[in-house]
Formats: sequence, C-alpha cells, structure tokens
Amino acid sequence: MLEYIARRLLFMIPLLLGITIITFVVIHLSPGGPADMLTGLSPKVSAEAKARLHSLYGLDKPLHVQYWLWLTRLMRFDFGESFKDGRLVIMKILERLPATLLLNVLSLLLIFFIALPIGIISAVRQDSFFDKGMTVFVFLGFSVPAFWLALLLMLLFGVFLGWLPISGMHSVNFPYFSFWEKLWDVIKHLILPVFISAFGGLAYLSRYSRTSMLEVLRQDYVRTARAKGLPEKKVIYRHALRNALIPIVTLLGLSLPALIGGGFIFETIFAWPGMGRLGYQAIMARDYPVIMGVGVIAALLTLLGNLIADITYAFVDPRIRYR
Amino acid sequence: MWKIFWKRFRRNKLAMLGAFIIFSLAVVAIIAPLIAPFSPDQQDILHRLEPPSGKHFLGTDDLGRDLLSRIVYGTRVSLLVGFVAIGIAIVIGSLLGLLSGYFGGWLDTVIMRFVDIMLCFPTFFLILMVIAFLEPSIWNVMAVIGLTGWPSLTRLVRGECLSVREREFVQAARALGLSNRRVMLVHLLPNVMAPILVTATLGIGGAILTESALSFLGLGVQPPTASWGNILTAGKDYISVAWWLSLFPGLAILITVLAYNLLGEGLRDVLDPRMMAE
Repeated sequence: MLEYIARRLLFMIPLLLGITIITFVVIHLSPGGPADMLTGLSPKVSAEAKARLHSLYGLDKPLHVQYWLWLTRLMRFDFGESFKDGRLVIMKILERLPATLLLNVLSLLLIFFIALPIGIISAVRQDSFFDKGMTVFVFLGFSVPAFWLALLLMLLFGVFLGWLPISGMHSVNFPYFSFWEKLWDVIKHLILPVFISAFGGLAYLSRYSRTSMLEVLRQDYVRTARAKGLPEKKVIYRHALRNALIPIVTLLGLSLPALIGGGFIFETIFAWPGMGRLGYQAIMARDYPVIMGVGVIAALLTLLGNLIADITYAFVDPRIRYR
Repeated sequence: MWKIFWKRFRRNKLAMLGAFIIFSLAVVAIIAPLIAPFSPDQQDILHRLEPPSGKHFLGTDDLGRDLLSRIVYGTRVSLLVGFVAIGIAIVIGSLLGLLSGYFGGWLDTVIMRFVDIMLCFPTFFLILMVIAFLEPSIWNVMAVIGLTGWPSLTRLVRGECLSVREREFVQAARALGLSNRRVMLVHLLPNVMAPILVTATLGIGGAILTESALSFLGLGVQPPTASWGNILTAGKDYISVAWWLSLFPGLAILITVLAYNLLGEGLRDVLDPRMMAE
C-alpha cells in the first residue's frame, strides 16, 4: 500500500510541472506580458520605470530562466503581492480558503448522501416509476445552467418567500448573535450555495451509480447469491452494493475540479467570501499575481483530490494495488 | 448502413424531438430579423423593465429593449459558439487520439500525459484566466472553449483506436503497404466516427452552457450584442423587480441544451449497440 501511494506521489510531479508550464504560458500569452499590465493603465510610466519592473520580475532574462525563477518562488508559495492592495497573495488566498473548503466539503457530502441512494434505488427498481422519474430529473440536471437555477432559487426563496438570505456568509448584525444564532445564521446562508454547487454533481453521480449498480447486478456472483437462496435484501446490500461502490468512490475525488471551477461562478453569484470569488474579482481587476496564485492553488487542490481518489480506490479494491 | 440508422433513429421519439428543436432553433437563428418583433438594440427608456404584455410578449429590459427580440437574436450567438467551439475541439481531439492510438509508443505517452495535465485543471478557471489575459469577445470565447474541450475526446478516440487497430481489416490495409496517413484517415477514422459524433453533439450543449456562464460573468459576449448569458446578468441586477429577465433567457438555454442532450443520447443508442447497455 505504501509503495502504491509513493508511486502515485511520484506520478504527481510531472503533472505539477505540466500545470505550472501551462499557467506560465498563459500569462505570457497576454500581449505585452505582465509588466505592461501593471503599467498599461497609466501612460505616464517612463521607459526607465518599465525597465526597472522588467528586471524586478526577471522579464529581461530568457524564458526558460524566467520559468525556473518563477517555479522556485512557487515552491515557497511566494506568489508576490496583490496589485490592488499590496498584500501578500498567499495571505489573501489563505483567509478565503476556509469558506471555499466549507462549501465544497458540504457539497461533496450532499452529493454522496443524496445521489448514491437515488442511483442505487433506481437500479434496483429498474423501470419503476421512481427510476423513470429520476432519469428525467437527471436529464434535466445535465441541461439546466446551474447559475440560472441559482437565480431562480434566489428569486423564489429570497425575494418571493423571503425565507433565505441571498448573499454573503453572515447577516449584518452577526457579531451580536449568541452562538446558536450564529450557527443558524451561517446554515441559512449555506443552504442555497451548497445546493447549487452540488447540483451538477448530483445529476452526474446518481446516473453513474445507477449504471454501476446495474452492471454489478448482472454479475455471476449476484446470481450465485440469489441461487443459494439469500434474501433479496442481503444480496443487494451485502453483495452488490459493496462492489458497485468501488468506482463511485473515485468519482467523488474526480468531481473536485468541477466543484472548484463552479466556485468561481457560484461564489460570485452568492457573494460567498471564498477563493472563487477572490479569483473572479482578481480577473475583473486584472490583478495578475492573485489570478496566478488562485490558479495554482486550485490546480493543487484538484491534484490532491485525484490523489485521495486514487488512494481510496486502492483501499476499497485490493486488485488495484498490484497493477 | 445509414438507412438502418435512420430507421432506428426515427423510432427514438426523444431523439427526434431533440433534432426537431435544434432544427427549429437553426431556422430561428437564420431568419431572426423576420421573427423578432423589434430590433434587439432599440432602446425605449420610457418603457424600461415592463412585465410581459401584449406588445412586449416577454417584457422589456433595463434599457427598454424588447426581451423576446433579444432572446431571438441570442439564438445566433449560442448556435455559433456551440458549433465553432466544438468543431475546434473535435479536430484537435480526434487527431491527437488517432495519432496516440495508432502509433502508440512515446508519442502515445507524451499525448496522454498532456491529456492528464489538461484534465487536472479546473477547466472553467483556465478559460476564465485566458479570457482575462486576452480580451473578452465572442471569438476568444469560441477559441478558448474549443482549445480546452478536446482532452476527454482524445482519450475516447485513443481507446477506440486501440481496439480497432488490431482488427483484421486494419492489419490487411497495413500489410498491403498503405501509408500510415491513409490507414488512419480511411480505415480507422470511419470506425471511430460514432463516439466522436455522440461526444460532439453532447459537447455542443456543454459549450453553450459554458458560453452563457462566461457571458453572465461579463467575460463572454460583450453587450450590446445580445446573448442569453449577458441578458441574465441584467436579470441578476434587477432580480427583485423584474423576474422575467431572469426566467426567460434561462429557459431558452435549458431547452437548447436539453435538445442537444436528447439528440446525443439518442445517437448513442442508435450508433453504438455496445453503449446501449445503460
């Protein structure tokens, strides 16, 4: 097992290098490069000041040297300072990270505990009313723009019914609340964002777990279990379910990129104080060190999700370890 | 062969419905000026934010423009983005997949590692980043969605190629001394066309969703050009006073994407019996 984990970790290194190269290339795609972005807004910046900036960022050196310098800084999580307020980028990201993690972890849990039973029940009662209803729901789920659904829910629960707050993480008078009121306040602010960011995954995973379960139910060992007269419940929940779970576990890790990517739009809609909103604001303000920092951290989180998925996979399915 | 497909396809009612909707949308896009009751850019400040009525069927927006007309014109943007973006992704994806699956070896390794890297990025952020560094415009949106959309297709095509490559007719073609290019394009490609077609159809729906999300964030199609996504931006700003601005453009997106998904799933059933298992 340890050897397997070590191998996965080693495998991550070329991936990481690749990610940094792509990010680096994207930045240098921009006409004029990063220094022009910083100075472009004020034409009064002298050529001399520009040259000074160039040497500050090492932009006067050849590309591969620049990449190397940039990479060594990345390894120390040194993304530089924000153009906007001069604060360290890594600090800005760290203070936003908890809100994003809270949102994503809750979404993952919601996806897992709702989509999985839906998929399993659909498969067990194939072609039943429930199954057909869920198939339609899943199909709609693939086609609905989630940000539009967010608007509709804000409209329904925020504007028409007035039950839920539609933006932010706290109410204005949050500091004066007692502990339980604070908890309830945060929960109320969480409901819509969590549901919306889980939405795409819900459809995807319930469909996937249905397929996986259907496949397992056709296996010989399920027929054997039935043939030896085991009660149907035991066949399904002991023999079939365990095997159907294996591929689903990995999907949870793999749904991280979608969750993080979705964060940029959902956190912006709900004014959720997370990393996605920080990234969006940075993009709108052309705050280039922050954009890069968020990009690299987001990719890192994704890689981490993949790694966790791989390890869980090996954990639940011993066959994988010896591949 | 195509006759059999058509016969099976016609029996699939949902797929037919999808095809019908897509066809109607294409017609709407082409004859938009004939259908739209007003010019999509004609402002009328006195009648801004009017609810749906006999004159403005779907109401007006914050500048008094007719919502129905803007949605009709938005059809053009969505279809254009969907087709061009997926066209780019399909060309890159199939080509790399073919090369990777046919030649194998180090080329395969390099291409597949690159695919792994691309799949690791939260794609939506990669798109946001590129658009931020370039200028947001419909052309950049199409290019970026296309250039980030190919990796999963490459994987799929490669997998198909690996199995087709070992079949007798490919072996025979190689034994006859045909050039690699000819074997790939004439013998391999037609046999992996089915999954490409299915992925392309489903992908168009996805590209339309991405475009609308980008435009919604102000990083896609720029106003005053109407796109379903950027109408929704106004919808968000006026959410407490003008529900119609939020509801109708989203419905348009939903119906369009649904149509492509229906068609794609239908094609999957018709073209590839192995995928029918589901």
